[in-house]
Amino acid sequence: MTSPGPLLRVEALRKTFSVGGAVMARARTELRAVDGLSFEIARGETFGLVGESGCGKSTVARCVLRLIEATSGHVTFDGIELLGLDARTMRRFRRRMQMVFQDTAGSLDSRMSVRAIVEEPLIIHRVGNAAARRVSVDEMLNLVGIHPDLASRKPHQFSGGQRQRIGLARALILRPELVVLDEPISALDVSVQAQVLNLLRDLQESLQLTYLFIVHDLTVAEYFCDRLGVLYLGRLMEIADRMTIFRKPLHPYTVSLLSAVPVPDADPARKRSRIILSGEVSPLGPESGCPFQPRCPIGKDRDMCANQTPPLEARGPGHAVACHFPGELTAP
Amino acid sequence: MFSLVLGRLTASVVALFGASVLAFVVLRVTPGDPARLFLGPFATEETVAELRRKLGLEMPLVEQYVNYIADFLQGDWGFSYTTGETVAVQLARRFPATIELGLYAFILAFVFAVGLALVAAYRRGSPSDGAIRALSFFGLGVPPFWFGLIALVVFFEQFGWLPGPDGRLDLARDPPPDVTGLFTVDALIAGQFATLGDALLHLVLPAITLGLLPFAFLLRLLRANLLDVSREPFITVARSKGMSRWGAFLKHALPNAFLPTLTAAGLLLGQLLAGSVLVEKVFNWPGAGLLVTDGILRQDFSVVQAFILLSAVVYVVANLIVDILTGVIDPRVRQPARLG
Amino acid sequence: MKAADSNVSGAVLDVRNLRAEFRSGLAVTKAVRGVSFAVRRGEKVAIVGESGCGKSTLALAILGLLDPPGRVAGGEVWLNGSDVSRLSDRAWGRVRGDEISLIFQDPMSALDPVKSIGAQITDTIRRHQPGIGRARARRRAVELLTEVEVPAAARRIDDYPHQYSGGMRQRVMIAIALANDPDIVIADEPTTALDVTTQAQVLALLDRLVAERDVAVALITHNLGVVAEFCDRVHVMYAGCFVEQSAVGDVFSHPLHPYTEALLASIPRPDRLVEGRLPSIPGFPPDLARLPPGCSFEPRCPLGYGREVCIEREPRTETVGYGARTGAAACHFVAERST
Repeated sequence: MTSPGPLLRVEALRKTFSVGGAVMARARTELRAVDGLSFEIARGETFGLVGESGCGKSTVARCVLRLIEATSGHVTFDGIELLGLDARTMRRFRRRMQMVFQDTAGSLDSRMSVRAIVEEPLIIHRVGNAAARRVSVDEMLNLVGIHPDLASRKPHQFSGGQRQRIGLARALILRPELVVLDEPISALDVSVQAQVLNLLRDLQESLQLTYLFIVHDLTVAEYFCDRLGVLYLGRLMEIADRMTIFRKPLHPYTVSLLSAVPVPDADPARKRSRIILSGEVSPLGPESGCPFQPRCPIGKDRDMCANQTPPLEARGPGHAVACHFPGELTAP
Repeated sequence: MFSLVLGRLTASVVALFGASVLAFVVLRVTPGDPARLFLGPFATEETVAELRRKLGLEMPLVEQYVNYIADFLQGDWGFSYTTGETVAVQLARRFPATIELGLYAFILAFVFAVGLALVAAYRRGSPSDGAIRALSFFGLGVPPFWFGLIALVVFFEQFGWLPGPDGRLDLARDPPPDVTGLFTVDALIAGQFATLGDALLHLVLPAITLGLLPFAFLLRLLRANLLDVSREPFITVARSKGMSRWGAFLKHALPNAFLPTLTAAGLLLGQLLAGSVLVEKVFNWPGAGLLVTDGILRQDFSVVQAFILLSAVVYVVANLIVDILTGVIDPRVRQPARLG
Repeated sequence: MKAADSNVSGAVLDVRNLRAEFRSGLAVTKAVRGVSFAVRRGEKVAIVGESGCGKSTLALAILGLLDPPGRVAGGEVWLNGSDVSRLSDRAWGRVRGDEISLIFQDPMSALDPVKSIGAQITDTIRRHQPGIGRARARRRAVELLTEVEVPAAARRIDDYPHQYSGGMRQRVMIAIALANDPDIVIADEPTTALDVTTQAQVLALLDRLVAERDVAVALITHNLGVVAEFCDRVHVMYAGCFVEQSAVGDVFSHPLHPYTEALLASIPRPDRLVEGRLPSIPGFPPDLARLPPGCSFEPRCPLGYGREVCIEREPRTETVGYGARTGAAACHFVAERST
């Protein structure tokens, strides 16, 4: 049933939105939310997609699960091409891939009890009878650290961290193989974040899960993911394993991102030497050339960067960078 | 902006079409034979049938409808066979009275609703808030004709402070020279202050009665919106600049709470027109509403139909204006955010 | 740390034993339970805590903006040597925006959507500088916008908030806060809602402006990294109290309170790659309406969990000093830990 090779393969994924302009007025412009993205996730791996707002990471997640329809490209799950499958067949695949959302309050129906929320996927996919479902739900709740006695309560009676656990329980009850985590800890308190990350680790081991981890915090991604890709305006800038990103980031954006994260360490020398990017992300992006070029500390004034789009090229084992001058910008 | 207006216009036309069909069909299929009513119970079958043919009541419905619409658009709104005048003439004569009544009712409703909503929201949870909310419940629940009658009993019959249901002016008084058809405005223009005073006195009870429901509706809506907006961070920020609590409420909360309330205002105008039908009957106010009530009782198709259609037009136009107005006032619609 | 009845010399803001609570029916939530600290001119002080620790309530209480069902239950707030804690709303109107101002956390909803950016800046200028004409106030507003690095300020001053990005709106908030040269600015999570790169920009900007004007800053945040980059001193807040007060230089290398230490250990850092599990603090923050009689951190404390003295008695703030390091912590075992 399971094929060898990566569990998930994304090839040349594209998603464009048409924005602006009324029917009769000015022309509609195209927003390239995801602009030719390719990556693979091996079984049991944790792959991170890192980027700031507007980079398209959430769109990628939704395209992979076909919650939004991609404009073009391929999404292969366990060897089967997902884009283009009819609804019925897709439904069977949905059991094997689930998503956990960032908004703990909004993604749980506030009118349903926690038990009902966690049970719902079982009912939708017609798994077991009521008694079997009850056992499943209790087991799952225990696994995520929520006492089954509390299952009759409603989501708003729980803290943010607990709600995230409930969301996890709901996503895992069908024992999926791939779990897409869309900013699962961003809305949580700092002391709770570590708890949830540890829980995710434990669950990955005991349930043999593969994670696609969407996050804006590069530091968290470095800690948690095996491999990660840095996104900017819908394109991959750099992709490598965590050690490499930590030790030897080559893309100027990755370097800037790392430099921008404030360090909880009072070394005064550090204060003076951060790379501060100018300007802000322009969602429409340039037509040609490197999307990062307008803000790039080394590419701002370079014609090559403005006119030629750098391809994603290998620069080491498992390490690819989309830059004409990788490694030129180093951390101060 | 342009697309907004066009979209709304299209929707309006569709709505009007639907309303006209509905009005037409409903009147035609209700029991009762206007020809017989007109001729009386002693007329023969043949005479009745003949009149029916003359009035075009024997033609298929669709044909009747098309003819009617064609006539309507040309200004021929039918002939009221109970009064012997064209409907257009009658309505034209009566409408100003309804407009005047509606106008004052709206002003009263609006002014009091805004004022009381501000107080209620500002002093949320206090006894004054409770009292104001109770008042709004009263306004929503009380049938206007009942309230009108009670008001007449108390203020006219009992205390004699206000005039009774004798129309727009004292019977002995002549109306001012006709400029707009609104007695108060015309009296002011002509400098007839005694007439102005009399007209205003006659307006008090009917306007309050008619405005009670819109007032209650507006009050509740605005109060709720004010409470929502006052929880927004920018209110706290305004206060951190040194603005007083009341100042922040007035200058920041009210404008923001007003936008969603404005959309409901269009509905209110419709309510006013509908309410006028009953209120005019109670106060014997010689407006279009009274005309319609009589028309209904006499099964005078043309009058009723024209009124329904006219109401639909007023309603749709009012909503159109409100929609456009909201679009113009809200800077988020007026100047959409540029990307990049 | 400081005796409650002496005016801290040179302090712009002196908060003494401030207490604030929320009443809902019979339940009383004690959000701020006896907080004392002072900020001197030009100093940048951090108040660090997680959500629910009471830090935002503290900010509102200091500014007199705590509305019912919240109220200030005790303590004093001294601003520039005068007691402002009992001021009427009217009198506060002269102080807020002029001597003390606020930078709010959510740039998306901190500006009035139906008023232009320019109007929102000029209104605070004209409120506190009466007699300044419209034209001059507008020029001043354009200057301020340029100072906070909003591009094409003269043109964009008439735009509306929805036409500005989050980062730019936060700059506008900074402009508004600094418009009348206040003595102290309270910044409540000013960069939390921003991207990391935008956060770096805004913090650098704030740093520069504050240094130029010699403004004191009380920065409220949950991000310890931001504290390290920006502040001189830090107060760690937990369940309505300050549990540790230290210089920034010391708190990261030698945290005095177990909560601070556990918090520092549980965050992934950009300069160190952690392997395996993250040390995490078990449990979650206490319900402020039902606080235990002893130390509020005890149920989660690696040091004090189950210990009698921690369960029974609430620790007092003890100052420790050795060598150049002084700090204070509310812990029964602070003396042991500081060696």
